[in-house]
Amino acid sequence: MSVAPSSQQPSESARYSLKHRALLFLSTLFLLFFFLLAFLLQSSFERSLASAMQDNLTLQVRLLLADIEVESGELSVLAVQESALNKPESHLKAYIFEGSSAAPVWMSLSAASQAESLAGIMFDRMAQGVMQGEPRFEALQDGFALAYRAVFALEEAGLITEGQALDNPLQELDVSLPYTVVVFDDGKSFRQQVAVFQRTMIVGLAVALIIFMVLLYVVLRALFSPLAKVESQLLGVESGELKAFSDDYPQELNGLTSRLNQFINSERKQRERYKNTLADLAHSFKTPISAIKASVSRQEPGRDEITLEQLARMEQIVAHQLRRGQFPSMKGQGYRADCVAVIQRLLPALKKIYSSKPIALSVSLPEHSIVAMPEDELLELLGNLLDNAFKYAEARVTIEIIGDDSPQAGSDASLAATQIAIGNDGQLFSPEQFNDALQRGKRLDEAGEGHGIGLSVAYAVTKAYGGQLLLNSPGAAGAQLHLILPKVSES
Amino acid sequence: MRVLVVEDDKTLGEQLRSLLVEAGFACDLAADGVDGLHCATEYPIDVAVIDLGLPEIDGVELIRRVRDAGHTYPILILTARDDWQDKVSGLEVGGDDYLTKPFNNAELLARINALLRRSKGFADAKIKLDALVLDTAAKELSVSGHAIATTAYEYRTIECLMLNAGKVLSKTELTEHIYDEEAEHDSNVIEVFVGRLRKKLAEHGQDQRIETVRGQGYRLKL
Repeated sequence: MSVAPSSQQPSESARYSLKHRALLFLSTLFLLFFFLLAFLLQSSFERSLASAMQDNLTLQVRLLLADIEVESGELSVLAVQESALNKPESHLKAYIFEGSSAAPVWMSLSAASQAESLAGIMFDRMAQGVMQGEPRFEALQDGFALAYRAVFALEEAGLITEGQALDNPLQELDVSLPYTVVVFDDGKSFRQQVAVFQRTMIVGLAVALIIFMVLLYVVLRALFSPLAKVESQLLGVESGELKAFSDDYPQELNGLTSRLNQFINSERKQRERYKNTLADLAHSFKTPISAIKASVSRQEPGRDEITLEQLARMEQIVAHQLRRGQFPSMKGQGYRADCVAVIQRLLPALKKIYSSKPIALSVSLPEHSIVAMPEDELLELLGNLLDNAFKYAEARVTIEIIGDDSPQAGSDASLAATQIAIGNDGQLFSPEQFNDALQRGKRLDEAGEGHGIGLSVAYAVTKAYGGQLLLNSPGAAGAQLHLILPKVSES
Repeated sequence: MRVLVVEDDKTLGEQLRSLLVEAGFACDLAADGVDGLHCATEYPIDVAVIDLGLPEIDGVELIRRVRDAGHTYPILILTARDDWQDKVSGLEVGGDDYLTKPFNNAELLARINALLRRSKGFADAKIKLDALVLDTAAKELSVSGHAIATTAYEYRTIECLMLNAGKVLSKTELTEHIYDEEAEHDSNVIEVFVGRLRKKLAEHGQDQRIETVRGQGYRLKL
């Protein structure tokens, strides 16, 4: 078995191996997965940090409210010296607005060093419109801010402070002084933490991706190694170093290599058969060639007849040997053909060929009878047998398919058999004559011409597909052949 | 009788033509399916021998087209492959018999004669009309057991008349059936052949067997 090297360039899709395709596909898939994972992790981390920022700003508002005192309508903030708000470069800044006035009535020391525009932004974006008891938290362009509106009430006993405004809003008091407290964080620490997290995450994911790719390559290499072995063993079989594929392949490839082994085996048998056929052919020609040479060289009278006779013999030998060479064992190859359909196709043709013979035809067929053979070979087999039956019949031909499901001796025990009985009222075959016909170069009808070497071809085909060809009732008037073929269940 | 041979192998085609002409047939030879279809549908063919492996139009398709065109003359299939797939395909589309290459010349002639006889309703190789007997295998004419010597063209004429016994055949029809397209012929020669045949038959008391139907042609009386 040899495979001719292809001169064609491989197509674009055939240029990449299965391993490379799988690697490329899985790498792309996992790269996308890692990008999505990085995005989700960062979003989640940022949301978590922003929530912590909101808690911190809420705490700062609470502390500031606790330190506020309003006396005679004047607001003062106590004890913030140690607070971050009192440090000029602090990231925290606080503003207190009264009512709807845009100018803050108080700002922290850290806010004093800032431009006035920040106080305006705090009023416009945060203080304006905030509802009492409903804190507003916003992520601004340069940081985060939380605003809270508190009301300080005047009781009969005098003006009192309302330090716990978040917990005890005083909506029912007669006199109220509304103040809005806004605390701002410049977000520097937030951005720093996010940057650190990003760096850590990217390094971590990159390392994970590299490890994964290495593992993927190793796994794919291990997975595809049987295919590489198939290629290597195929080269071995081609070069003759190996006779067949080994049987230690994984389950998924075992079917393929087993089939390839069957194919190689069948091919080897076929090659052997051709070799033998060629040898037989060459050998068989020697006798007729010798006869012709002798006749011609001796100038024998009637040499033309001798030459023609030997040529006819050579024709017969060629036809016989070619037929013999064509049929290797084909058992169990999954073929199916309907005997009934084939017989029904052949009968009109045979009636036409033998229209000058007054033959009474008796046919008994079921609706279908499926056998394990390809249709063209079944046509060849039945064509030859029925042709013989018509050719040698005097006045009657019978064809019957017997529905016998029992396995036949000599055939595959796992298969049922179909039995086709073909009979005629023509010349008798003795078992010796029948056996002779099935041997090389012999015919039942040596004088017959024109319709080939039917019986030996039929025998070769039958044998190749695991069937049997039997001669029945050799002593009776007429011949009856029983063709037994492996049956395929109609279901 | 006129035979059409459609065979793409030049040597075999010429051999077949020689064989058939020697056997007393008028023969037209076509080398491919297109030429074969033209001859098969345009000429008054009595029997056709068609090879299955033809260029242009293959043999099976050629037979199908001939039958589709309404021609019912017998067709003998020649095939190099001895498998039933080819044989059945050819017979299914309208072939009447097959012969596998390489074939025996005698068998080919026997098959052609058998097809011709069957197409005219005669089962036996000997066509018997009372005392008049034509042996199509031996190409011999006899009256009451006495052999009558005939030339090739006289034989073709009497064969044509006997196979169509009871029917009137015009001079043109007789000419077309005994000469192929390439032969030079004159329809007046038919009068000569018929005249000679009448004279030979008269010697055995069959002088009135071939009658002239005025303005139409000749008829062999049953």
